[in-house]
Amino acid sequence: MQKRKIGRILTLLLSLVMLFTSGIAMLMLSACGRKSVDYDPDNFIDVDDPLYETGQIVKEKITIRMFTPKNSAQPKWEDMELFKWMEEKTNIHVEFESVLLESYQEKRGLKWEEKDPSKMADAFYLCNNPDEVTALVASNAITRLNDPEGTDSYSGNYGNLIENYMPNYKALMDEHPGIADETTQLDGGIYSLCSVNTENTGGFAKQYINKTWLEKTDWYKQNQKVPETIEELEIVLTEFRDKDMNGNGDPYDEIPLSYYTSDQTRNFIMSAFGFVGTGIEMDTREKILQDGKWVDNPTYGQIVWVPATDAYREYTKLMRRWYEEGLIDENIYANDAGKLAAKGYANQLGCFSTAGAWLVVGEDLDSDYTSIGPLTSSVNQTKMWYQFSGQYNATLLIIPQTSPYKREIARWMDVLYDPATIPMQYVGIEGEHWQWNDREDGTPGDGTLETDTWHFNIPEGMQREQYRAQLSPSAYTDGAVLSSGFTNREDDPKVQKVAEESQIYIPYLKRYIPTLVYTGDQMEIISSIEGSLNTIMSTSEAYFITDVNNSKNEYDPENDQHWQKFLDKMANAGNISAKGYAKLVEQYQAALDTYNQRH
Amino acid sequence: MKTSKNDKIFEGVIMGFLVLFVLITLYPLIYIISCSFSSPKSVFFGEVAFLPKELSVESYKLVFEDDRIWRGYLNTIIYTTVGTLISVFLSFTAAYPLSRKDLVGRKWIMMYYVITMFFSGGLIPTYLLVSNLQILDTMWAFILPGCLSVYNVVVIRTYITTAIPYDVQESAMMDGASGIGIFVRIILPLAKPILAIMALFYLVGYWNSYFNALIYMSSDEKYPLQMVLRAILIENDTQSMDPSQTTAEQAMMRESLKYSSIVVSTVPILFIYPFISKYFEKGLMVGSLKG
Amino acid sequence: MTGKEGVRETMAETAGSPVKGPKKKGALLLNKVKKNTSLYILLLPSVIILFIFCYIPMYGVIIAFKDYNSFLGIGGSPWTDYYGFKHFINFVTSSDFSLIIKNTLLISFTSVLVNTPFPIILALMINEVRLKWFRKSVQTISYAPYFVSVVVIVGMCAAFTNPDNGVFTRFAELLGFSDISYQLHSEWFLPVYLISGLWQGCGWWAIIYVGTLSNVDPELHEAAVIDGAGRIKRIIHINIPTIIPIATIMLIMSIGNLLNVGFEKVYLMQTDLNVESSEIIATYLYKQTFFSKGMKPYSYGAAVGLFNTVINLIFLFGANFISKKAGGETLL
Repeated sequence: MQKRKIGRILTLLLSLVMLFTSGIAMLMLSACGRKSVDYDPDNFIDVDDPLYETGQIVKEKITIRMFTPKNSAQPKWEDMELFKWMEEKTNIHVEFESVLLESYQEKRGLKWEEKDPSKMADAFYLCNNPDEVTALVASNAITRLNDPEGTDSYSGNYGNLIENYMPNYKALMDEHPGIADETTQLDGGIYSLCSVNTENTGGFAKQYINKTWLEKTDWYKQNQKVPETIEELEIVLTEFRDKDMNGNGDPYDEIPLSYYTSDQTRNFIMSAFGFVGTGIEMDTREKILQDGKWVDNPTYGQIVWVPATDAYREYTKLMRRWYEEGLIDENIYANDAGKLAAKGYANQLGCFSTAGAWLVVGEDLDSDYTSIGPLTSSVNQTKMWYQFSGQYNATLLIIPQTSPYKREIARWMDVLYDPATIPMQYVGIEGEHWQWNDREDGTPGDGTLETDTWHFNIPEGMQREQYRAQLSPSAYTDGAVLSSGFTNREDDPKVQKVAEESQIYIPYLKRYIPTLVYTGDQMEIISSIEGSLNTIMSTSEAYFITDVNNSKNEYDPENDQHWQKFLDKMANAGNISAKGYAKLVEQYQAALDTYNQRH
Repeated sequence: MKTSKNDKIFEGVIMGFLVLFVLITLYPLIYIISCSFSSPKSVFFGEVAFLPKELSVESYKLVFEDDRIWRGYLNTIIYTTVGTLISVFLSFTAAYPLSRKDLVGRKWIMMYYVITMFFSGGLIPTYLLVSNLQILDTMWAFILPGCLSVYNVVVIRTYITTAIPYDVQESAMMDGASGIGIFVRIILPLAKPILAIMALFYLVGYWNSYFNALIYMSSDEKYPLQMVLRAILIENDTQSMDPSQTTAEQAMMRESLKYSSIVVSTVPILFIYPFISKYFEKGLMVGSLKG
Repeated sequence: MTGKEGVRETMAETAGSPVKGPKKKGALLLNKVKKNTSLYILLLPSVIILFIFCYIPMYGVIIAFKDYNSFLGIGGSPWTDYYGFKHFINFVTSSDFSLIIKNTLLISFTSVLVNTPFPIILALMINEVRLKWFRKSVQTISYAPYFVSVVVIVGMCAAFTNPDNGVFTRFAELLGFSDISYQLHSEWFLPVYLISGLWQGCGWWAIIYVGTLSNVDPELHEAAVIDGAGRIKRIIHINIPTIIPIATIMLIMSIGNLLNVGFEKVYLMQTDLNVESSEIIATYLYKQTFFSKGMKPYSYGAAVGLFNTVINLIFLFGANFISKKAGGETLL
């Protein structure tokens, strides 16, 4: 007994000693890290400084750390021409903590746990999704950029950063009121900077159809046009399936419609039924069909959970029928970009989605394809086209409160909003990486005329995007400002073709919902429900369409019972605190109402 | 013992089964090697069944050109070496005192070790700790969390108590040797088999692990090999593709790069273990008996 | 660790040292501690490492009972509703809960079911072969796959079951299955998981049984032969009983880890289309922690993790208890 007691005391003592020493070690370690950052406020070149006009931002060179995502095809961000040029101009060296996209989510979440200001990033560049920004604002963790009373312990009262230090961004905001709409939080503060497409209306994919094949169809011979309704498309695809369109002697190797799960073909089909996606969305159908008559849509402008609508059911019915009839590639769920391209190069594709046809079918077959616009259907008359990123994206940059370099970053970013640097963010330095072509009359071009074109000097043996990646981050991730007025004037015929093909979509572009701001309670309910709903959705659609799980056979969109089961599942998604898609819709609707009031 | 005819048949049947088992075990490995030596096209269209088709070293060329793989390789070798040394040191210094019956408080100290097998603080607190220790994005973040396997300590302890006679230690103690002295001069030389096995265990563990890198390392130039493999094999990401090739050709190359990178990353480990395998049956057996 | 061992220990001590009386015992022990200072020094490095990397983070489990916010820190974050149990209640009432628990249990039970008998059978077979080089080489080859990393194993599984060109897809087609891609078809997830696991571990787990069998007293067998027992009889009556105790311990160990299904492998094998079979506690926890919208719900993740640990301990003690009641081997 006594021996045990002594043992116990001994362990206790030992652990106490351990606790003590480790505690001291920890304290020492964290103490030396918690040293506040050395910051000299006078090093900053303020507006009243004679050096201000030169564009230089600091007198002595400083280093700022930015946290960025990185595509593995990109070089180190520090080595990009754009940032080298920026460093020379501003005297600021930016150290990018670039994390490969495949583990970016994890690292970014954990980065906020960094409590040491000398290790914390001074800015988060790209991927600042609005929901996270809202949460960070609620925790008072990031800098308000338009606060007239802006103060910190490093540089004192710096005031309204946008007003004082970002003349270019301010001009852009005046010109595009949408920027403020996109970024303003509930408290009226602006906490994040936008990337802007000055003329273009943002990012969207194009749907391509094989024109050469189309011209061989009986339907085309009668109608002389590209299909405009989903029913017409079905007739055309059926002919693609049945005839030896590519003329190789095999009538069975044509694939009428192919895609892979992450491309935009599904949005293309879905939009014919009145919604551009299969999740939360704002209803923009003008008319709906009721008892065989077209009436005004009572839910116009309201939030809808699309999978619970009849439109979605119609969509799954159609997709299943097409799949069973062989109008859709049988391997859609095993497809990826590479496999799609392998089929494209073999001249087997009738219809697919991409940014430019040559990316999938190669330059030889590029001219065979033309873009097919938004479709309507017997249940929907409103044309719409899915736009995955808007003209303004409030995701470009945020500055943590802990950073001493708020003014420096504001000025540094403003360089990117200077209209003169737009080309640089796309293809590097004028005269070195690209130049204006001579005009037809032999005089040198300079971009002032609408008809001026420019040429991109891609070195021999280099791929275009690979080369662009060495110049700026816009190649695989995003830049700050892009202008289609500039990009469309490249002398590459492919670019010209794509620009023309894009025209049919521009009047119909639509995002799922505008960028909304949520309260903390709304956010909590949303995250309780949305995760579970996504789990249901990630499998259900595949089962509805391909019936891959046919052993269970509970997913037939034609079967009312199966459909009801699906609806019930979605109505129960969530936990005791919040349950069901209706509740989810409520939250989004409330946020949308706030948004509408503000505008 | 005499062998009857029945016995011979019996043994023949068993050997037949075992040969079958060996073939099943080896087939995937051989298949991968065959694929890595086949032309990308035949791999992509699934023409390889057993032996290489259209013999080609193209996919190895890709591996050799891919600097991520080599950087990952170098990192892994460094991390593995340092990590194994640390782990083996910690495990043996822990196991020996715990094997001594005259260690006062042994049961309680043992408890201190065993609890960590079942309880942990979880991902976020551990991350906060690593961050506070200022070792994020360094080799130490890869090695130190989880560098000591208590299970292995138990195995070593059992080995020492069962395979090394206590008398040997006792006579040394009579001569006035200290605990450390006995450990260095008597225990370590006698525990060579288990030392070899433990070194191999830890080595394989470090070589194959990626999770710590996924969480604690952010610069891709510090990634160990398995992180690179994860990108190539699971996320289908390839960087150093010849840009003059079409997307379709790249898809083929990507398939075949998978096989050659598997071979390149796994061969070193497979080569090491036969050298240590002679210790295996002996050491592992004794060690685990009371595990 | 066991009570028995403790008794043995004291007996060894009373036998080994001339104890004079209970009063002197304390002093004697202190003396012993002093004598063995160097042993404590040896222990120090590992004790420190465990303290830093295991014990310090343990205080972090309290975030499971709080609404953790990075900017308030662990201490400053508020306690949750329901007396701190909000996250646990949310998890248990979640509509994903039943699926996750079902998958976790299914994967682990089937793993135990498959991974226990096969290595034993392999070991029994190897033990029957008398050609030394043959058994040596079979054994050496059998555990080679154990050294292949999880990443590579999953990469192999994906390549082998690829619906376009996978080599096993073609085999399966010969057997009449249409498509065995676990990435696309949730019903193939478990078979691929189990088979690849068995392929990797069978030979490895057999080592210990082969070792045990080689220690069987040859006289036992000789006696059995004299009694006229055939080989199969001897396997049943001598070899299998020899293995049972160690197999029991292995079984208890694996039951104690029932809910600790290897996260890495499942996570790497998971795709959007097979979540219905592949979502387990660990993957759910990981995804919730890192891929949620807005603020990362670390507290929720911690609660799910703690739930997992507690259930594991219940299983471990349960299995241990049953084995004890049945008079078998125990771990603790």
